[in-house]
Amino acid sequence: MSVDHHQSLWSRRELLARTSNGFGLMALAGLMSESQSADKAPSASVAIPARAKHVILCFMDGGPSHVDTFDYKPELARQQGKPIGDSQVSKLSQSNAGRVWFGSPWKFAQRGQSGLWVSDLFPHIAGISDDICVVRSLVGRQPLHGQQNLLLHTGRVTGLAPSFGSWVTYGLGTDNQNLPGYVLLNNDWIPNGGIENFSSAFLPATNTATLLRAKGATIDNIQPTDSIEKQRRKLALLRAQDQTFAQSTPEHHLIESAIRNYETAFRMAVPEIANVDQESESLENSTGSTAPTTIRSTTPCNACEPVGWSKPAFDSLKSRAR
Amino acid sequence: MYVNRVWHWLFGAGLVTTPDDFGHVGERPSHPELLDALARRFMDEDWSTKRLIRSIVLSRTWQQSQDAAAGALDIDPTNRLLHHFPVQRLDAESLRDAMLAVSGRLDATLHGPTTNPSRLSEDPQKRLFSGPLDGLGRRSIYTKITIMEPPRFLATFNQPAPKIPTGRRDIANTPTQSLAMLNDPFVTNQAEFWAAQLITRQDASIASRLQHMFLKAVGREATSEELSRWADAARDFAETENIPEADRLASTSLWQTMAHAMFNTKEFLYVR
Repeated sequence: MSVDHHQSLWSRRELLARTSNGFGLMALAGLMSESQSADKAPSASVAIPARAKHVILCFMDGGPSHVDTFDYKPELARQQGKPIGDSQVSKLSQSNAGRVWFGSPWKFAQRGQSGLWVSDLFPHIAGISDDICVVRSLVGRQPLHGQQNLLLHTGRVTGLAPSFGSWVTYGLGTDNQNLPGYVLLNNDWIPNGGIENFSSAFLPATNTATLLRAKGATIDNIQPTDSIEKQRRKLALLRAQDQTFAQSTPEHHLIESAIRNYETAFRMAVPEIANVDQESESLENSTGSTAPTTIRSTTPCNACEPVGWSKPAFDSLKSRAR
Repeated sequence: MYVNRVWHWLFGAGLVTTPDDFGHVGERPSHPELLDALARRFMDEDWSTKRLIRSIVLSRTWQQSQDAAAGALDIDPTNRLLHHFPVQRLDAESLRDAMLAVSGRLDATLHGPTTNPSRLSEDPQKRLFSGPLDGLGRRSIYTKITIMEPPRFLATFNQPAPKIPTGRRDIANTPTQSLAMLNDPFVTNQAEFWAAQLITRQDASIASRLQHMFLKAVGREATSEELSRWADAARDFAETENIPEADRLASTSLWQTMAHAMFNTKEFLYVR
């Protein structure tokens, strides 16, 4: 992510365009949110007006440890190399008395006016320490990846509860009923804990994340198997056939809505519609700002799920720890 | 609770429409005496699901047609009183099985090992392995389920996550499902398999081939209007692909297109 006034590798616009393989497609995914079983998305009217309109959650699985970044633990360095001893053995983790303490090799300092502890590992973040908020109250008790991921995303180690993004979209609603409130950018990689990390659980199904893949086809089955001409002829046949069927049944609204979905699906699968460059340009021109407009105008919650860190520093740390 | 679920599975809605919640926030039963009587009979008959199903499907209520009587919809628009048999979308497993059955690929063997669903990528660390596209023709109930990543095709049609018992599935109606029916490789694969069977048949004409397909896919004969509609489409597809008239009954490509279209009719997707 671009860090404000610092030099960044990618502009925000580039990031969105690259990681989503066509962020304009998000608009199309929005057309997919109609659900027969789900109630209408709640309106955005609440007692206390929320200042935040959008949330971007970057879940950086496999990132550096808190003790190497924001959580200054000088005692760890003092105990470096000493066995942890019987008193520190925990039943929850697989520790034993012979394991040794390992202090952070990074230097810590208090930064900015706030005095936020940040290690030298994050020099840029150290420079903007007065602009960020570090939450230190997030504690898990089970040393298991899946359970902790579920805890972070859904608030419970067991899952079975709505994802963070589902609550945000449920609470904020979405400005545009044609677009999904909750979009998940991912790299065909399911974090531990599974798809349930992004599930709406007991909230209406429209609050489930719409998954956009960063590589290959953005949405499942978006690549048409037939030529456009052939698909058009096929749909004409189906339309005629299905109208007859819809008219013959008292539940015609079900059939008619399924027919409409075919039309939408056909429009979605046309490649020109999915052209991100045109989409971003037009958004840029119409609002005078860059690609996060798409977020601004559409989605209250985005969860980015990168494959993990490219982490030479972290890897060298791990090898030293062994 | 259980009797209500069986009723729900058969009619698409339970006598209590909230099968997961009989508590005070759940709905009241539409026919409380009936529910009690069925529950009592169920216990008297040694908790036999088979007998329970038999007693329901032998009832006049179950055997009604899907046509609503004049005026009935004004009085009871949601059909809570079951004045007609409601149209229902096939659930995920039935839809997949129906395609296997129609194409001729279905392996009806009971029991045996499960098969992995076809996946876009594998992840051995998470025990996510990919299986053959057609699942070896095995019924969907033999698909291996993991909580990490559901079988895509089945999940698209609302197969619930395996972690909690789900009395009432979502029946979402989304463009993703249309995309799956139009473009999912499983569907095109089954259309191809069906086409391979169709071209070996000794059908006298395109129309009689189509008649056979209607019977097989939607369980009824086509009307003459439908026959000409589908025959027109078959001719258009054949002409676009330059398939000479004499070769049309034997063209896999043409009949794959027709089979694919048949799978995509709403009448195939919905039972009445």
